[in-house]
Amino acid sequence: MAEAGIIGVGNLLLKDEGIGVHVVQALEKLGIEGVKLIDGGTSPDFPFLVQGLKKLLVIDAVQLGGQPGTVYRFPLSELEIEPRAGLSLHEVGLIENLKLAQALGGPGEVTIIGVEPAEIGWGLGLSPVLREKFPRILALVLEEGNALLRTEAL
Amino acid sequence: MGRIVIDPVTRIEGHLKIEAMVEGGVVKEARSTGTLFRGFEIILQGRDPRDAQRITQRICGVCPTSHSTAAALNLDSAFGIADKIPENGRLLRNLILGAAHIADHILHFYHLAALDYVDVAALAKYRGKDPALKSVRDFIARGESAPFVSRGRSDFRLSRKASETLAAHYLKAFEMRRKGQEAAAIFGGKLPHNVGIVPGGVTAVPTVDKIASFLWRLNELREFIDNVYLPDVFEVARAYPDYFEIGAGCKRTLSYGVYELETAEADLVKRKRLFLNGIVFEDLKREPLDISRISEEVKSSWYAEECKGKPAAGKTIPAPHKKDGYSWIKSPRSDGRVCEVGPLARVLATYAGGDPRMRELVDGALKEAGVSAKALFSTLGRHLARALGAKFIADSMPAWLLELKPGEPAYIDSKVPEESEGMGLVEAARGALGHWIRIKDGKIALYQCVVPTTWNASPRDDRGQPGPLEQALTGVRLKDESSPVEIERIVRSFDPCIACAVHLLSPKGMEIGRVEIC
Repeated sequence: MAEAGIIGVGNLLLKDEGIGVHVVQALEKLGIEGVKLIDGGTSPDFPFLVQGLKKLLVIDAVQLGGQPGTVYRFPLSELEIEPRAGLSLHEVGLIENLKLAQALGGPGEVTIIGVEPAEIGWGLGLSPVLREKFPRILALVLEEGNALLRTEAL
Repeated sequence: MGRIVIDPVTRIEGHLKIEAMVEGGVVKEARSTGTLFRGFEIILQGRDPRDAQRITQRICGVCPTSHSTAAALNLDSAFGIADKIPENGRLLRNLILGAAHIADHILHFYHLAALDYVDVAALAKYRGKDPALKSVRDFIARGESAPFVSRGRSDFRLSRKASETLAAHYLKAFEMRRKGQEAAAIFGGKLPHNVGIVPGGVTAVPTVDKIASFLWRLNELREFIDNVYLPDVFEVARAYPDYFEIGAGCKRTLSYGVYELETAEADLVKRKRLFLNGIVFEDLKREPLDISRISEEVKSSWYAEECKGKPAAGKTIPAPHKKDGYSWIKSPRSDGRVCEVGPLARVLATYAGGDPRMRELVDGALKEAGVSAKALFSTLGRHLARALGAKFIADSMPAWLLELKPGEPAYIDSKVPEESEGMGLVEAARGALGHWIRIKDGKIALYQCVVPTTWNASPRDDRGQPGPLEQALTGVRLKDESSPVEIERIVRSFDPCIACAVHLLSPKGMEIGRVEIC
């Protein structure tokens, strides 16, 4: 059973917001072995999908104000979020779920790969900017994936 | 007059914003605003109708299975095969949706609502030996408050022991969600976005192994509902009896009915279903559903006036600067009447419709809680109805499993017509969900979804009547205006779900790597 996983999250109907899912779908087509690939979509229901994994890469759109297509990398532990109680299940967000998964014996090592979006709005498929940069984004994710597999699990 | 705004904006668009005007500690007026333009209908235009099942699942991260079911029913009717679905297809759809609904109800109670009543932060002082609780204690001790965010500063009334028990169940509930999702995936192929439910039936063929595998998980879920979930709802109810009165709302509920009990009837409104359809009034009288009476109003919505009308012909033309507009949500009404949707609505429709098993279940629960049936129109009533609904589905599922014919197909082939219309009505976990399609030249000319929260979080209609959630908040007395727990508890009891969460990360923490791609 795979010890490492890559989960893409986001909404495929909102252009670049869905970058994480686009990346995972592309990886599925490449036929990567030894890594569990997860299309998380917009569901908060993923903690159990990552249970039993030691290492996890999370791919999501991240707005930090860089050039569209910029790829960021940071560990979950470096992410500070304001604790806040949401009104709807949608607001049990990615970070809460990742931390919860960790509390329940999920992956100890979680790295977030963020991609700066160009356009977020209704539409299937990525914006032209991200579409053009997609091969390079995919290559970077693969590099990270390889690095992840080489390192010892925490 | 003071104004309280609950607007959890930071990371989520498409969220719900609640504004309450408060005078003398009482909510005088409330406004519910949906903040995301519903553009998904536009995406579907011009596409192959069969794409609807895959695309509409992505509208909502919380109800993908319900959307796929609504889309499949919609396409069944548009393709002229609504009365030709094989028995296996009917049963498998019920089982996939049922497992997803049970997981969803458990998720909602423990992971969203229970924290309104249980002070998880108190676990920091936990001295017992339960390994799961110890891990939560250590987690909190490390300064990790998410996801165990304390709600408000006061009004936690459960004893420490009861709080610890509920917190342990919070963790156990995760395992149960997993069982529900795994069960749904056995026939649905994969979750959260299943590939099994399609127009014509279900792609999976039932086998004895799969049936046994499903049953094993179902039994665990039933045990959890009977011995943990329902008792926990009663535990909360004993400590918060006033919430059987708080947040009553419009006291009129609407259900489309769900879980097919026959295949021969093409008309979804006439089809025999486990949960009955209909409108139930304050006096608990039921009026059967008449879909022709439903129309959407847009006086307070940021849409052009011509977007008003029947959902089947619905238009989506944004008008963001409209004078009276304050929401991207339309106002669906039945004959101009405000109706609440959700588990309460389908439990009440089935109860008022005289289903003997539902009458026994609800009457028993009311006796145990020591309240009358009318108390169900309330914050606690919604939670109780959700738990009873979960039990009602779960107890119905073993018989469906036994009816399956192993090895026989669950799907019938069909052709996409050049011109046609369809309607798909189902209940999502959080209430009535309708899809409508018009096909022209073999492509989607129009697709409309009326999602449950459109009903519940709708703004004022053409006659100025506030929506169900707005009505539920009006008149509520707040103990502490700086920490309006009453408002949050009422809103959460509706299990709102604004279509489409956008969860962009905006990290404040240190960034350790960045690659610019040119």
